[in-house]
Amino acid sequence: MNLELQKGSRSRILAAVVLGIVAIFVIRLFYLQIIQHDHYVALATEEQQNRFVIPAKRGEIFAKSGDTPVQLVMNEKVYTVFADPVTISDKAKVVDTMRKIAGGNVRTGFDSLLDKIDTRYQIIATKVTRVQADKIKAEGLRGIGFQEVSQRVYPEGALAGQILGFVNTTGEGSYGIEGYMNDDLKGKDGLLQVVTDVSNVPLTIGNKNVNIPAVDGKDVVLSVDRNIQSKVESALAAGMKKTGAPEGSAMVMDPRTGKVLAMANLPTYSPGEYNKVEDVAQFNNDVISDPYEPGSVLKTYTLATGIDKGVVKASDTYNNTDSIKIGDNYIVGNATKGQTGIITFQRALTWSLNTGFVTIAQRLGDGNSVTYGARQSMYEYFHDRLRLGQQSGVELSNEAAGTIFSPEDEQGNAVRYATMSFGQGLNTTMLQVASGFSALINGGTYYKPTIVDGYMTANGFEQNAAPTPVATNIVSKSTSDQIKTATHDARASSFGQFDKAGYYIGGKTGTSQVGVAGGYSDTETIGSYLGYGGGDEPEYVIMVRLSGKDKQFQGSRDALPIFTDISNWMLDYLKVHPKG
Amino acid sequence: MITVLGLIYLTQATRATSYDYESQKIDSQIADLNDQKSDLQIENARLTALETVKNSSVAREMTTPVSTEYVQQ
Repeated sequence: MNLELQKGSRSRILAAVVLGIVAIFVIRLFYLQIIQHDHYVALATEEQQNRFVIPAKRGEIFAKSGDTPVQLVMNEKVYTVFADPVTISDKAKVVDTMRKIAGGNVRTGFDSLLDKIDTRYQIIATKVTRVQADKIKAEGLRGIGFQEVSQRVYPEGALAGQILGFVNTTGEGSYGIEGYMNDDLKGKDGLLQVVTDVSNVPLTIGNKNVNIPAVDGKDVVLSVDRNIQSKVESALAAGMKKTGAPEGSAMVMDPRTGKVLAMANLPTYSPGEYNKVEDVAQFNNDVISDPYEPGSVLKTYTLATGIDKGVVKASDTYNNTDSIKIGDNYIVGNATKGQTGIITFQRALTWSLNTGFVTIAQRLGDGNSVTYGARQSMYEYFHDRLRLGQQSGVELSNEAAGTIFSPEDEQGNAVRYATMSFGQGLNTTMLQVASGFSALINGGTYYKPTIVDGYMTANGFEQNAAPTPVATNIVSKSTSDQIKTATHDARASSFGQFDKAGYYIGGKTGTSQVGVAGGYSDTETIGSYLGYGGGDEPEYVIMVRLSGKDKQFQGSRDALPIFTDISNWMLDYLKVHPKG
Repeated sequence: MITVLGLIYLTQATRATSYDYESQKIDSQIADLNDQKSDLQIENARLTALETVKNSSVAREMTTPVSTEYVQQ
């Protein structure tokens, strides 16, 4: 055997083995780094990258105080304090610290929750303020954590509760402005997708970072005046206490623009404590959500229709016999008896005589009956021009449309339209009635009622453009002047002594019957008053309504004093100069 | 040469990352100050709320005027 040959063979074998091992490494590395590249990059990204939602700040809601926006709804950061019973080392210290610092924010019996060592998460306090949270953190308690939560806060308490609505536990607005403008108020959350270190600190390395800033919600400024709202609520409360009314509503609007200055309903609730409300009906804003038969306040509409159509004037007369027959069987009577004989329509308005207004409805026809033509005229004015029986589009949730039957409808017959002439036989909301009345007394221009006056931006308050009329010449200027005069004279003759001297105030009472199955209740009436006031031109329209199950309220006795209280206050608040 | 270039890359990348910690600290301070500002705004709103003003000692000393007169120029 050749020894050199044997030596050479072992080296080659060794070299081949080493080469083979290296080749395995190379192939394996090639497989891991090239073939499996995307897989491992994805694993690393999943491990290193974190996604953070950047919460958008919900928009605040402002009212006005004169010309200055003031906050009605703000956001506050509060904390939920939770404990991990397993890692708590000094239970007594935790209990003592929480009681001393968090006080009333701790959950009842929270100390027993700390004994539940089979759980890892127990909430021990809620709505803890930032200052309280910082103090608890400073104690360095083991096993205690904090969860940041944003909640709505209401510096003015329950003021304008039903206008505002509330934000529910899922962060969505319900009722009022919170519900209607939820999309504008909530904004849009942002996203931060970034490589983080072990402490979740974002790092700039990585080319797949995503940073979409949050878009905060809009800060809305309402047309509601905080001071007027407060006065309306207190006047309504005082009036309801005096009359024993369980339910009441009142509103004030500017007839020159359609802006709502106040809207109140009692009983009400505090939006910050909506979860404590037992009767969900309190969430409703009855001014817009509760259509009813408005009664005699609508006689102003009938008179306006008659004047504008040229069939009557306030000074024209008719023969009042305290009752009037419609068709073959239906008789309408006056609530107030005794003003019989040849009287003017002005007197019919002053004494709220139904017969006078049925007569106007007849004169819109052939003079003897509420003809199809008369019904068409009334529907045109009541529904098409003055917009009863349809949503106004005001920026609040749950607005009801109400009901008014067209003459084409089987229910739009002569008897119904005869009753409509004095405000029964149709359903409308207070906002619809007040908005239409505003058009009657402002020269004939209908403005869409609005409760949003503008927005707060980085530049401060940006007011919306001046409201543009929805329609002009609803009634002629002459008709409007005559309605102003007629309602002023109606008020002055019996109630003018309650108004501040030197001012031109007008209005109409309403005592409406409440429908029950098959007819009207004998034991229940709704009292209302609708009127205006101001200087050279009407600057405000006020409407008040009182009601209650099986209770009888009258416009003149019960609702009118509340109107007077608010009206006299408004004259001072708006600094309206008296005449003479 | 490659080793040197690699070392240079590592130091620069690490430096950039260290700035992230600085900016995180500053962001945290900004957030804290914003929270304090927000708390003060809420406190201000509560102190100037109508009910607070009405129940203040100054308001309690006030009376409703018997009449309001206007002077014409």
